[in-house]
Amino acid sequence: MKEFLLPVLLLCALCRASVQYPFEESLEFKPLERNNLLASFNFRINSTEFELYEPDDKTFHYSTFSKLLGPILRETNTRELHLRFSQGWYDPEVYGELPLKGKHSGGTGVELWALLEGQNEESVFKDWIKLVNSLSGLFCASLNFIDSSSTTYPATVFQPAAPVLDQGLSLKNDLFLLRSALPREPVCTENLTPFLKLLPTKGKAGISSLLTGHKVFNSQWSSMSIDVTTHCSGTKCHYEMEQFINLILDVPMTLERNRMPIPKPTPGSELKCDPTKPFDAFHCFPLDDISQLEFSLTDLFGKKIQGGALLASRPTKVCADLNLDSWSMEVQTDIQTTPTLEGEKTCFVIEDTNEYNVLFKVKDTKRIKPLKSPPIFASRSLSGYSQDSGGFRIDVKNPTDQDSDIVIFESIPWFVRIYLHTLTLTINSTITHIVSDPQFDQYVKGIIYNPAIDRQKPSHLELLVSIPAHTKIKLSLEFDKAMLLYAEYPPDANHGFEIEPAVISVLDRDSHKVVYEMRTTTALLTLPTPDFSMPYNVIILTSTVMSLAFGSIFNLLTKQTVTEEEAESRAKESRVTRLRFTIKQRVQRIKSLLRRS
Amino acid sequence: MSVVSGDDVAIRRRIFNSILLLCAFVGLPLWYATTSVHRAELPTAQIYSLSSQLRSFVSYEIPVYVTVPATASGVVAEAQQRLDALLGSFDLPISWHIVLKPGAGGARDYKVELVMDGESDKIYVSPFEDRKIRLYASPTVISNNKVADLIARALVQDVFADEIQMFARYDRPASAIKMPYSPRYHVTLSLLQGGTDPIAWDIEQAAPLFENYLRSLSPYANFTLDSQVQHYGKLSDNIALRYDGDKKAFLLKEADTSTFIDYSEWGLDQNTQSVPVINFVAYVPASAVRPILIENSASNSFIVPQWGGAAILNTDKQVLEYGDLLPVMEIFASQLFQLVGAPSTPKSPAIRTDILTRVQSLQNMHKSIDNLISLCKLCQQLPNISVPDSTREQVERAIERIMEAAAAVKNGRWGLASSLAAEAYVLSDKAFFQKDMVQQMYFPEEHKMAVYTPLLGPFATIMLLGLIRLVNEQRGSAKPKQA
Repeated sequence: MKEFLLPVLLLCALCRASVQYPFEESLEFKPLERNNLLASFNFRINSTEFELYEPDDKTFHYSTFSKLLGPILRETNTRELHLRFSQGWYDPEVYGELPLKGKHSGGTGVELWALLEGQNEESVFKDWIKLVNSLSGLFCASLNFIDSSSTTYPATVFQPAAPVLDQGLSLKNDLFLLRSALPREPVCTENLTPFLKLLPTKGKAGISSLLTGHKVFNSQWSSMSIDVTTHCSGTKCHYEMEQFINLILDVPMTLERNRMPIPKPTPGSELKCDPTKPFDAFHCFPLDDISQLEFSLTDLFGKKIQGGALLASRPTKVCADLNLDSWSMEVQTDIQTTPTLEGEKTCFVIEDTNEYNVLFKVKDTKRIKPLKSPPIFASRSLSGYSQDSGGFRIDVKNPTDQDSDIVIFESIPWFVRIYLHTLTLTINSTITHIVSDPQFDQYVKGIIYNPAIDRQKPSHLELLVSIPAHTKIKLSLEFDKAMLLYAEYPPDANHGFEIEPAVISVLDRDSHKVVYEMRTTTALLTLPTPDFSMPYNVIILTSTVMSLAFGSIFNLLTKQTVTEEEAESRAKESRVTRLRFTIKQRVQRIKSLLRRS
Repeated sequence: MSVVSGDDVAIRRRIFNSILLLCAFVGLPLWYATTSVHRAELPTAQIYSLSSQLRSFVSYEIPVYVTVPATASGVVAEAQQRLDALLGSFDLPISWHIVLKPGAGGARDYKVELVMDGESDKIYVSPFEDRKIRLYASPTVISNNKVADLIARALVQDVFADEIQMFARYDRPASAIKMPYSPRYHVTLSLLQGGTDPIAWDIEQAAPLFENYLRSLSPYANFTLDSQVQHYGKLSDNIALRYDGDKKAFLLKEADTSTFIDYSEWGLDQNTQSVPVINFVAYVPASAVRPILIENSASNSFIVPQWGGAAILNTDKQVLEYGDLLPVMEIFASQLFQLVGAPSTPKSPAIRTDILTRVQSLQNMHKSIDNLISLCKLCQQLPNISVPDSTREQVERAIERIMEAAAAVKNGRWGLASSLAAEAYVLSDKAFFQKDMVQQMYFPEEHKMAVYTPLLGPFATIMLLGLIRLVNEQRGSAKPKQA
């Protein structure tokens, strides 16, 4: 294996006398509507070179690419790894299109897909389980709950970003693409810490020093992503890792929280009421008119940037995409730094170890650069209210002037038994086609469907839909709810079962490559949930029935059978009859006494 | 005609008795079998007998080839006698012998070469792979006919002295420094920069040096190696460095070395592999606190028990070259030998590894028997614990491996014995930590009785009432006959 540092070192000798590592980082701010701010952290790391097929005991040298991830990827023959942690709801009407065309944003919870090399599906699946278990430990997420019942093999979406096959390298085995998602996973601080540990700066310098759990997860929406791809030239390969953190912060709310960590109602004297509506001492429609703001990085993140990442091959860069008519950006640090205009953006670089703070002054927060509208709007909801069946409804709107081809990807757990024949399509809420109609095929160009196997495989559905310009379509699908075994219910089963978001990809009409990707929200499905003391009840009830049966049979067998006369004669002799007889006599005597009187 | 015929009662009594028997001998065992936890039977007796007989099972015979000049041909037999006498005085718990053989010996055998023309008595152990021991005998020794004595003393008091010591204490807890035994280890070499300046090392050149040491330890266990470079390893605030004006250095107290490594912040020992990791850290202090010297440490390094070692590198170089790394690798290598529990003498790494391998085989056999005994005790003490069949299988396989290892020791195949004993150890560990055993432990037996009361209660009541009635009837049938 050739020393990877050498070329870098040689280069360094020429430029500046310092060691550099293949690492880059940049931060970008973008104001959104309604006083929201998008902060986009980007880190790129390259690994040292290695060969794909090397013995296990080969010595590997890690520098910037983490030693935590490397052995996992090698042991499981993972050629590409994509991991997403997201939380919150992305409102495309306010935030515009997803950052980076949705390429690096996942659905709520955790999402993972990987390209694994292996001889057959079985061995690859073993590696996959090993991979998710290792990642589970590394990222403190319940990825270890991924099994065959939540793993799909996507056919048209999630295709490899940098196919190792294209790089003129002959692979020994086949490549398999596996994907799984955990919509129930709460994304929290414990996932951010390992995320930062993968960086060579470890959150101690550079832009990663801004990231702290309680600020990141107080955002309106956050998405963390890790993408590792293998790049080869000849027999030499290296991993490229991209890490993104995208956050949407509600600026006034963040400032308010700094001022008052425990929210209290605004005192009456400070309340601004809408004058167009009736208001007095008891009524007030608060006016949402915060348009002048002044905030800095310390207000947003509670920290300053702790100097640049000196080991990076390019200096740390901070940019903001501002409408300079009403927004201004000021860098506060020990040395004079003025941000410069780079194309559309205002940027500055950090090349020393001083602390940096950025102050934003806004005259009118409503005046921002126009946001790009997403090429597609989509939502998914559950329909039906019974305990045993229900339906999905997916609404997709194409707001553009062009027809667009989209792929709807759904992975539905096995206990939701979908019926593909119930698939219906409604165009602009007027015309409805069922799946067997010939017109249906005009819109839905292709269906890939792998039905579920109970407890082993989820339903995997991919629909290639073509939507005409300015058209809304509605797809609906019915399903039955299956009964689960007693032990299969998760804790708090009455909360319901999260169905992972549908992934909707917009394809380029010529190259059929994904140009935009979005996810719907998670659906919360209630399944018939038993009373969990049931097994005990069943045992007790069965035992009672058995002892009843036993009792009657036992008595039948061991009690004496006698004729009626015998019974009567014996009854006369018995003490009870005698007692009854005397009581009767007494009663009659009393009665006759009463009559006489 | 009597009201209750005797025959009738007899038939019904027979029915009652058969039901009672059915309940007692079929129903109850069936109920018990279907509701109780499964407990596979462990070969307890075999384990205990193995434990008591281990010392007599295991016997080591170490062949040593002696080359003597033709003039002193009777020396070998004489040296053997001396040797046996010397060893006898140690009273080792197991049988351990050195067998002297005349001849040149193979490449992997111990070879004693007697050089008669030495000025004084000297012993020279080759530091290479050849396991050669050269004995220089001075003329006085030769003239006094003490050559045999010299050979015996050299072997017992010098070459194998540590081995004898280690065997004498084999069943006592290992030193606190030693890493718990595992058939596989992973070694990580880390370069840690305490400050913010980027740093690099020429590890590609230096690593093969370290790999050689790992290879020499391969009969003991399998080692894999990797390296990493980390930055921002700031010293934690509670480390008190004292600036010494004379030495122009920051002094670190020896006692503070235990808290020197910041496990949570430096992220060194985060491990995603299932094998134990031995960490070696070359720490480059930040320029503000450079140089750091550890008090009473010539090599400026220290060992963290059962974790690894660290060396402080006071350098302002940005790229550490092979020459800078050479002493560090030597320090790490000596720390590695200490961490795996190898003896400090003789100088030959091959012989040290051999000694370690032999002692570890016995220790592993001993430990796996200990594990099995603990397992048996656990099963006896917790009657509710389930013992799956897989546990029994593992126990049986572990016993087999122990026997095989003991046989291999007898045949002098140390490498095979070591791997078999390690396998036995792993198996016994697996058997003890079987997760299926713990699962049912907290299921109380009382619950079972409560749940099944609706079954057992009515059954018992019905039978009891039936019995009373039958007894009554029998009395009744006896009375009318008298009347």
